[in-house]
Order: sequence, then structure tokens, then C-alpha cells
Amino acid sequence: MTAPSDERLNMLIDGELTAADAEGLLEQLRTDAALRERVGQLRLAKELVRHAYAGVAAPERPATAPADARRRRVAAAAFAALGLGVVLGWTVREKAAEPTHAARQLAEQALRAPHAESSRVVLHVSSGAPGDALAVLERAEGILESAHSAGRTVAVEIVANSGGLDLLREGVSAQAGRIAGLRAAYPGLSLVACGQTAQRLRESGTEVHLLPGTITASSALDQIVLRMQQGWAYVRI
Amino acid sequence: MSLFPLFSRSAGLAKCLGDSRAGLFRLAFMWCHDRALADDLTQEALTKALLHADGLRDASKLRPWLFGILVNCWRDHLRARRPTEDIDTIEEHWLATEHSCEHSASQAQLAGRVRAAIAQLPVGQREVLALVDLEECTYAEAAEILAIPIGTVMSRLCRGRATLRGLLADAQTGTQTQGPALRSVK
Repeated sequence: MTAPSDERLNMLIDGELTAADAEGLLEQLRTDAALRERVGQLRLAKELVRHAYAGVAAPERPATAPADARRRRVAAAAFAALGLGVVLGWTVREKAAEPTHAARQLAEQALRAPHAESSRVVLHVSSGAPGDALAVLERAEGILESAHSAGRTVAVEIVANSGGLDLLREGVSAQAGRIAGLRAAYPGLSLVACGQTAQRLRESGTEVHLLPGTITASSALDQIVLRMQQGWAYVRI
Repeated sequence: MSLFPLFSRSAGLAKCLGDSRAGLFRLAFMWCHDRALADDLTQEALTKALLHADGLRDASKLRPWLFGILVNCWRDHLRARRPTEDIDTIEEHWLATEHSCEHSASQAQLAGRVRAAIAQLPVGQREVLALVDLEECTYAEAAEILAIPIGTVMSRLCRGRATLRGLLADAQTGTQTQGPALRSVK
């Protein structure tokens, strides 16, 4: 069988192939390591692009830089022309304070992407918000549970850095009990702490004790890139 | 004449536009790598969208419609600024000023390397990568937004990813130490 073109491999990772087409290509992937490597490289390029900009948040509108004031006057004139100034200005600015919305959408889409049924998933959490801590555990449990009930083995790795590291800190994490329960129920769950975040905390005089079974990686990003190179699916919470 | 129907429709639209702001900004930022410019382009696109809300026939097409408006703002900008300011200059200006973010060193490094690699791509490839990779547009949507044939979307995507792969492989082996040095913005 001839090797598929890069165009076709790109279509596969972008979800552009029909189900039948994708199935044929996936079949070929199962037996061809070199092809898997090419797909892995292309997917890494895609994931890295996404990663490099996922954290980019629009500047908050209420900040009063001179240029901002000028733009607001222009916008205000436009809004006033429609007779909607107050409502519109308020809504647009309020909404701007939610930079994680699109990031969440990306995560959802990543799960729906062709590698959705991937048997190896990295869940990356970098915020200390209680909602995100819960979200990552719920996502992990969902994947582990559905794989378990389908009789499939699955590996789920929670990689935590920055504020997200609190999730894995003994005496700090509000979810320690739940994590212990998950670990006991699912051997496929692993916990990875970002070594750089831990070191930064220690340097600032904070004691860092991690939950039992937590592995420390040199950095969260190194770990994620490593996993992506190994073909793991990547989901940012 | 009652303003109420206009009001309620536009208020709904305003909410949708607000929701789209983060995505528009990120797209614009990936194209120009300049936060102030990206913010201007985003605001301009949102303002135009409000003024030309009648141009949106199908509410389910809001996203591609907005992206299309942003593309027009961006192209207008490129046309107006050339040849006095080229893309490379904008990128290097950005590299020199953006290091204050609170990301960890490695995070900033990886993201920085990827962004530097993307900045070296031709504008056309960067536009396609932004729509397909960041905003998860389908090839057909990207073709419509950028007003180019779908085959061009595919070939630009292909060349863009191939180049990125090479640049990032170099960067990962450590042969490339830092981003390009700062050049005068004038």
C-alpha cells in the first residue's frame, strides 16, 4: 500500500475525513510505525500551536490606557448610533473577563477529535480554581469509568502546574480523599506534579508535600510534550 | 416605530459578540503577535459587526461571519501599513516586550519558541493555521472566511505544519538558543 500524503494525514487529525476513509487510514496506522510517527509529529505541531496561544487572554477592557479610552469613544459613538450604548458596552466588557471559555471549548473539541477514544489521555490543570479541580477529576473519572465498564484499559494522567498544583498537595488539596478513592479504584490513573512549580513554591518558603503516588516531572510542559510525542491525547482543563 | 424588536435582537447579538471576543483576540494575536494591535483589530471587528448586523443572515453562522470581518480588518491593516512596517518587525517588537507574563520559564519558553516559529511562516499559512488549529474551523469554513479555495487551505496548512515541524525540531535539540535579537521598530 502506498504511503498516504501529508495532506491526507492532516485531514485525519483535523477530522476532515469521512468515517470510512478515516477507518481505512487508522487500520494502516495500526500496522505502520513510521506512519504513526508522521501522524504524531503533525499532531504535535497542531497541539503546540494550540498550546502556544491557548493562554492568550484579551486585555481587560476596563483598564484605562489612553488608547483604550480612544477606542471606547469610537465604540461608544457606534453604540450610541444604535441607541444601545449602555447595554452593549457593559455586556462586551463583562464577557471579556472570561478568558477560559474558549479554552474549555477547545478542550471539549479535543475530546471529540479523532483521537477521542484514545486509550491514553493527559489532563492538564494549571488553575487553582475549585471548579477546575472538580472538572479535572470529573473528566478523569468519566474516562476511567466508561473505559472500565466497556472492558477497555485506559491510562489517564493528571498533570498539574502553577495554581493547579494545589490539587495534588497534601494538606492543601480539598480533593485528597476523592483522589485517593480514584487511585484505589483505577490503577490506570497517574498523578504528575510540575517540578518547577514545586521548586518555585519551596524557594518562596512554602513547604510542598504531594499526595501519595504523585510523580514529579522536571516540568509540566516537558511532561506534556513527552506524552504528546508518545501519542497521548492532550486535554487542557 | 417601536424600537423593542431591534433592541432585543441586538442585545442578544451583543452577548454573542462578547462571548466571541476572546476567540477573536487570540486569532488576531496569532496573526500579528502584537497585543495592542490585536486588541484594536478585535474591537474594530466587533464594532463593524454591530453596525452591520444585518449582514448576518444565518445566526448559526455567527462565528465564521465574525472571523471574516476580522480577516477584512487585518487585511486592511496590512495594506495600510505596508511597506513601512512588515510582519517581521511587528513580531520582534512583540518578542522584546512580552516576557513579563507570569508563566513559568519553560512554559514561556515553549510557547515563545512556537510563536517565534509561527512568526516565520508566510502570513497566508499563519492565517490558515490560526483558524484550523486555534479555532477548530473546518477546511470549508476556513476557505470561506479567507475567501480562498479549499485546496489552497489544505496546501497552506500542509506547508505550514511541515515548516513548523522542522523549526520546532531544531528548537528542541537546543541549537536555537533564543528568539531573534531585537531590531529597531522604525
